[in-house]
Amino acid sequence: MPTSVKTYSSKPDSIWDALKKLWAFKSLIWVFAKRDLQVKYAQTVFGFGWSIAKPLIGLGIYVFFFGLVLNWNSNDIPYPIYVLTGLIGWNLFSYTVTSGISSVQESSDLIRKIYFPKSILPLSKTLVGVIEGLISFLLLVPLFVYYSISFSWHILLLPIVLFYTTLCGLFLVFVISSLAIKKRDLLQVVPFFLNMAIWLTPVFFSASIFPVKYQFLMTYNPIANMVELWRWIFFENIAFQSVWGINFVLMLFFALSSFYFFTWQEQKFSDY
Amino acid sequence: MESSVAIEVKDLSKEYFFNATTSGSNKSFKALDNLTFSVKKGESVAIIGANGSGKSTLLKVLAGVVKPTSGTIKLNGRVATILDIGAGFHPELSGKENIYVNGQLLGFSKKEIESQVEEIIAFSGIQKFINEPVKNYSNGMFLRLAFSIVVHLDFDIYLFDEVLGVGDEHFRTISKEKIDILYNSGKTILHVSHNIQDLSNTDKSIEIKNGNLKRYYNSSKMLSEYVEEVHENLNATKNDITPFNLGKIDLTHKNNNNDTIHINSISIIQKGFKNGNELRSDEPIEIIIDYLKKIDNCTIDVFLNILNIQGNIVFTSSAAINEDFSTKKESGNFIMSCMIPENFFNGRLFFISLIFIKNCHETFSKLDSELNFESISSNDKFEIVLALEKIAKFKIKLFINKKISDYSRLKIAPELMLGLDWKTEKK
Repeated sequence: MPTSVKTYSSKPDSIWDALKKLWAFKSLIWVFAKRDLQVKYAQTVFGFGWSIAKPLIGLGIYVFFFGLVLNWNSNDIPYPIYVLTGLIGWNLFSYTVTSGISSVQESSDLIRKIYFPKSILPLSKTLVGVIEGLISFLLLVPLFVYYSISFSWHILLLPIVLFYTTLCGLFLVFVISSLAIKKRDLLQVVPFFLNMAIWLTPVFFSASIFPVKYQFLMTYNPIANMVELWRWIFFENIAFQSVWGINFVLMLFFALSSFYFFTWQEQKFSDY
Repeated sequence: MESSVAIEVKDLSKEYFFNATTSGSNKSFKALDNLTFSVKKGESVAIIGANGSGKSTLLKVLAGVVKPTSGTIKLNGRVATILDIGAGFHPELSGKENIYVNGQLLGFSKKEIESQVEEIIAFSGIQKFINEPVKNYSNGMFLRLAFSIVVHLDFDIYLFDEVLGVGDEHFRTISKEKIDILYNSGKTILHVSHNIQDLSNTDKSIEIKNGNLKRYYNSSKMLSEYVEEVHENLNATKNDITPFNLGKIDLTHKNNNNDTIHINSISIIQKGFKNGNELRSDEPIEIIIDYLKKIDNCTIDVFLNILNIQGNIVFTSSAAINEDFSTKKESGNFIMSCMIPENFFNGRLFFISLIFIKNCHETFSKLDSELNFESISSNDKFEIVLALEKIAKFKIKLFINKKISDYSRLKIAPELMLGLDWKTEKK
């Protein structure tokens, strides 16, 4: 094991140093994620079965009320598939945001005792979200078979869509946790924000149910774009929109900036 | 940075700002104030100081957990930070799973942990429960496992913060042994503790006071100085200890009105001793007790206790151990003297206590004849005629071979040196 000289000073890291540190500790992302997964279903009978059962129960409720009772428009896609494809993306996003933000608070004890880049914490939560998202994917297979629809070749672009979804989530996580170090009011607002955002996003319904003059809200809403993108990778008949590409590039930039802002602020986590 | 240096701290400061929501003002507090020091590879350094002096903050900054306000720190090698034993343990995970999580948190690969996992489990002594969630562990099991992980992984620098203060006697002993092994294998160790005993094996000590480096030199000298200062400050408020002066101890305010005996004088004499309260370690010390025995038909024996500054007895001596030396049964004036050989004390501050016991030998033989302790009655207790607790405080200045030098590398016992009778024969 080569000995290395470590230097700590009052100067903040450059973005390059921050990324290098993150890389050096990358194995921790998996360590924390694995720990979370092991802990999540500890002392349950069904264990990992719950990560299928939970979206299935949710799906049942949404399909019954929105699909059967309210008969919402789903752009000619069978309603259960429409909801589930949108829900997988939305759940990953909202899980990244809520658990990412609480991850820093959750581990405040650890942060005061052991050094590691704090961005590891939300990143590992994201990984948990991705794994659970992929598990709920399994629900889609019988649905596609039942409605005899075949997967589109777009599915090969799934990694990019996953990446984009986590970028959206992590951007919010980094910004909110950096701003909420001293004053935690912002953390109280997040659940309301998410509850509201799902109704500005075509998860349960199609954007076409909005009056035409408000439909632009969907076009410029990066989260709505994300959900549309999730549907796009499953279905051949949805057209790719160039605004998604622009969104992707912008979000990449925002997420990186917010990551840097976060590493710049993380030194204060152990002080408050 | 030189390759022989393990830790280099330069102009280190850490300032905390009070939370404005609670205090309403923006005042700040300097936990560390311009610290500069370095630690060589393979050295073990004790960090001492009162509560709130900044010791733990220093370790936190060294561990990288807390960012300094100004200054730099350079660390050469892998750093183990045991600021709190068991940090990073997840209650729901089994002991074995926690070994892996904790090891990886401390910067080790799965492979490196794999090679040590058997030893870690063996040292912790919880093989039976290693697959149980740690939330079901007792405190002791939890501590043993956590400590075992840290000491079995190969770090270069160890930062310990009060790790020995948490376990039971067994745990303390094995942990101390393990730390000694680390020390002997050339690891660099920084050890914060309030228990000076735990720090006695360190090379050097750093005292931190109000965030400043107060002093930094050899442990054997500094730790005893530190303890003495703390206790001197404590004793300064009490007036019951007479400072030793001019050989004869002032007994006026000790209760000396007794039916059995009256103490005429107690003196401490040393060749070349003039005044003040400082004796030399390289000359014998004689303690002379001059007393009047008022009654017949009993013996009075004196027990001499030498106490260290913390009030623990360093040694006890009495003529009563030898029956022939016991005082006569008749009344009258007696002078007893005791000779402490040269090179017996290591240089320190000591107290003297004298206890006078009536019919000591009768009680001894009574106790010896009893077959079990339950039948010992209160009548069999030693009858203390007079107890003179801490009648004098004296300081012994360390001389070996007639000159003062630094003997810290000799690892002499803190209070006593072995100035006993030795003989050498050549075969």
